[in-house]
Amino acid sequence: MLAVAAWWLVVSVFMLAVASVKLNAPGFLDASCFLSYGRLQPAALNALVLGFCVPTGYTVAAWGLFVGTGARLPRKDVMLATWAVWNVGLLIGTIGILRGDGTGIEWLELPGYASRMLIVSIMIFTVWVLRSVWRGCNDRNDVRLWCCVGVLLLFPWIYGAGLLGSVYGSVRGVLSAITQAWFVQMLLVVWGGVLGLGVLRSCSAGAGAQTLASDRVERFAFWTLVLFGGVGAFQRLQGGPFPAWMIAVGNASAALCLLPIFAVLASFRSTFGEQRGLGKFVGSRAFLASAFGFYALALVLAAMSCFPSIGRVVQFTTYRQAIDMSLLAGFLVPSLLLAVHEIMPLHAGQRWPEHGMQRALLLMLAGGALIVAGLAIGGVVQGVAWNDPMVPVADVVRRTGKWLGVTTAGWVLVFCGIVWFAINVCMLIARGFPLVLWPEARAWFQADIAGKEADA
Amino acid sequence: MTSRFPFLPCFALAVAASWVVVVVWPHLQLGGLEPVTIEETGAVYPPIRSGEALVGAEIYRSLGCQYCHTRQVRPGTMGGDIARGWGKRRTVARDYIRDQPVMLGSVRFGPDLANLGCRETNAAALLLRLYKPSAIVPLSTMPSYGQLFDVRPAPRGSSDSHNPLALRMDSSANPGFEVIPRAEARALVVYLLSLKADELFLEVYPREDLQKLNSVIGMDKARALP
Amino acid sequence: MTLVGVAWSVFYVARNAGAFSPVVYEMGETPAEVLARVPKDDSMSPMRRGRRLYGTYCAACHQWHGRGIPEQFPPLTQSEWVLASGPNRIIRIVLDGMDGAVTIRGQEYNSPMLPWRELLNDEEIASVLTFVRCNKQWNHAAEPVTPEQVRRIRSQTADRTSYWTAEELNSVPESD
Repeated sequence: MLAVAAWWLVVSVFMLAVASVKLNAPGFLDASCFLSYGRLQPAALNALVLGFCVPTGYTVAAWGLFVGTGARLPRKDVMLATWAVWNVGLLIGTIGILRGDGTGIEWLELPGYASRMLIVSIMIFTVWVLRSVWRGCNDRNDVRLWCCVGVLLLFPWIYGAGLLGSVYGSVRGVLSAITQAWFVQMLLVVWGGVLGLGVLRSCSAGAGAQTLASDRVERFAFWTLVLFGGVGAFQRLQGGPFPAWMIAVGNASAALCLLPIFAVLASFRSTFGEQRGLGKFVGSRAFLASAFGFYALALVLAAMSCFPSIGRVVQFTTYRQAIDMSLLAGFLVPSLLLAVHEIMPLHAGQRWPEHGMQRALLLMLAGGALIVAGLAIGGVVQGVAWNDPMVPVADVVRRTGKWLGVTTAGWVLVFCGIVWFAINVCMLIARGFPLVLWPEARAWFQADIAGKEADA
Repeated sequence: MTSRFPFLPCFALAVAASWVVVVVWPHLQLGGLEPVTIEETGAVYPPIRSGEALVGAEIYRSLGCQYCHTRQVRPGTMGGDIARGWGKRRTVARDYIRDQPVMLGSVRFGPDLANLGCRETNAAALLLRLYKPSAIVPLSTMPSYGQLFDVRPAPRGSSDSHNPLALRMDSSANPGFEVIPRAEARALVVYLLSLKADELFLEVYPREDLQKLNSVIGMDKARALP
Repeated sequence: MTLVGVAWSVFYVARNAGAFSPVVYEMGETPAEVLARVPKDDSMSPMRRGRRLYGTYCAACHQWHGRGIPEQFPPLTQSEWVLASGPNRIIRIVLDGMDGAVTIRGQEYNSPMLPWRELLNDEEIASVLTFVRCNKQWNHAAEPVTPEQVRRIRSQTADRTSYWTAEELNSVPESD
C-alpha cells in the first residue's frame, strides 16, 4: 500500500515539475489539451495530497494508535479493500481532471464520481480503525494519541464538509470559495500540522528516548492550532470579494497561529537540549528542525501578508503558493517520509540500505527550500510588477520567470529525492517479501538484526 | 479515549467552532444575496447569462483558465488593479451570485478577467488571442489553445479565406489554410465577453478619496499602455 | 504573551470588522459610512435624470460605459468634444445630429448621429449633457449644461435642416 502511495508521490511531483516548466515555456508540450497547465497543475496537486499525503498519514496515524493503545489489528482485508477503492477512485479522478472534468474549485477538483468513492472508502476505514482501537483500548492520556485520533477523524470531516459546501451542494456564488478556503486551511495547517508535528514529536522523542518537556505546552499548542488554524482560512480570502469582517477575523487568527509555533518551538528546544549528542540518525536533528522550520515559515509568511502594505503586493501572486508548498512539500511530505522511514523496517523485518535514505531526505529538503524561496521571492517580484500600471502584462510573468525557474529546479531535486526514496522502499519490500512468506526466516532475520545491534 | 479529560467532545467542538465561523456564518449572511435592479436602466444585475455563455463557462472551467487568471478586483488602496484598468470598482460578493461554480482564481499569471467584457468588445480579437496569444502580445506566456480551432485548406482558387468565421490573421505562416473556431471557442468567447462587474449598487458606491486616487495615478497611466 | 495576543486580536477585529455587516467591504469602515454613500433619491436632479435619459437614447450606440464601439460609434469618455471648455458645439450636435468624418482621441469615426431636436426638450438635453460632461465614473468634471444655454442655441439654429459636420462645428466658438 505504501508502495502505491510512493508511486502517486513520484507521479505527482513529476507532473508538478512539468507544470512549473510550462509557466516559463508556454510552448512546452502544448500539443495536447490534456497536458495544459490548467489541468496538469490541479491533477498533480490532487494526486500529491490524496494519493500520498492522506493514505500515508492515515497509515501512520492508525499505526500509532495500534501501537500506542496496544490494540490488535483484526482484519487486514477491510483495510486493503477500502484502500483499493480509494486508489481506483483517485486514478479515475485524476484522469477525469486531465480530460477536463475537474470541478473548477481549487484543491477539490476531483470530479463528483471519483470523490464519492474516496469519501465512502475513507469513512469505512476510519470507523473500522476506531472500532477496533476502542475495543482494545487501555486508558492512556497522551498528546500523541490525541493527534492520531484527530488525524483520523478530521480528514473525512473536512473533505466531506468541503465537498458538500462547494461541489455537491448548490451554494451561491462566493460561498463555495469560502468553503474551499476552509478546506485547504484545515487540510494543510490543522490536519497536516497535527499529523506532521505528531510525527516530528514522536521521532524526536524516540531519538533521545526522552519524555517530552512539558505536556502542558503541547496541549496548549494543539488546542490553539485547532482553534485558530481553521479560522485563519479567512486570511486566504484577502483582497477578494468578501466583507471586511471576514478578512479582519482571518488576519487576527493568522497572527494568533504564531502562538502554537512558539509553544512547539519551546518544546522542541527543551527536547533537543536534553538529548544533545545522542542523535541516532545522523542529520536527523537538522532534518526535524528544518521540516518544522518550513511549517513555521509558512505561518510566518501568512501572518506577514496580513499587513496591508505587504498584502497589497503579495495578494494573487505565487506568494500564496509559497505558503501552501512550504506546508506541503517542505513540511508534510518529508515528515510523512520520515515516519515511513521509522515504521517500515519494523514491519518488513529489514533495515534500510546504508546512506540511501539520508541523501534522499536531504535532496528533498533542499528542493523544498528552492521551491519555497522561488515562489515567495517570485511572488513579491510579481506583485510589485502587477501593482505598477506602467509594466506591460507580458513583462510581469517574464520578470517572475527566473524565480519560477528556481522553483522548477526545486521540483527536480525533490523528484530525484523521491525517486531515490521509492527505489529504497521497493528494495525493502522486495527483500522483505520472502520473509513475510516464511515466518521462520523472518524470525531468524530479526534475531540476526538484534544480534548486530547488540554488537554495536 | 481518556478518563480524565473528555477529549473527543472537546476536539469536535474546536473543529466545529472554526467550521461555524468560517462556513456556516457566511452562508447565513451571504447565502440570501439577491440580484439588484439598477434604477437608471431597469436592468437586473448580475444579468442572466445566455445559454451559449453558460457552455462557455464550462469550457473555461474544464481548461482551467482560473489557474492563471483571477476574476477579482481589489480596491484602489489595495493594489494596482483599478490603475491597470481592470475595473472601475472593487468586486463584491453580489457580483458572483449567478456563477456556478465560482472561479475566482488565486494567482495572476495573466491579467484579471473580472471586467474583460468591458474593456474588450471585439470577439475576433479574443478568438485570435486564444488561437495564438503571441500574435497580439508578442512575449505572452499564455499557451495556445489550438484544440479549439479547426485548421483546414482554404477553398480552392482563393489565396485568402472568405469564410466569415475564419480568423483574420497573417496567413503567410501556412498559406492556403484557414483557421475556423469551433463551437467551443465561440462559446468561450461569448462567456468571456459577458464578464462584467461594473454596475454600482448599495455596497459598492465608491469612496471619494479612492476616486481621486484613481484619477490622479490610475487612469492616465493605464491609458498610456498599448 | 497569549493574553496580549488575544487582547490585540479582539481590538483589531473590533476596529476593522465593520460591525460584522455584509455591506462593509473596506476594513475600518462602519455600515453607516457605507449607507451614507448611497445617492439620495432626488430623482429630479440633472445628473440622475440625465443618467436615465442616457440609458434610453444614447447608450444604444455610445454604450453604458461611454467608450462607444471601436470603428463604429465614437467614445464619449475623455472625448475632446465632450470635455470642451463650453457646451456650444455639443449642444448643436445633439440638436441637429452630425455626419462625416470626425477624429476623436486619435481615432477617425464616420457614422451619422441622429438629431434630437424634436424628441428632447431643453431641460432633457441639458440634463443628459450634464450627465455626460460631469460623469465622475468617466473621470469627467466639466461645467454642467443649463437649459438656458440649450434654449438659446435652439433658437439660434432654428432654421437648420442638415446634420452638422466637424468643419462647420470647428468654426463655432467652444464657449461664449
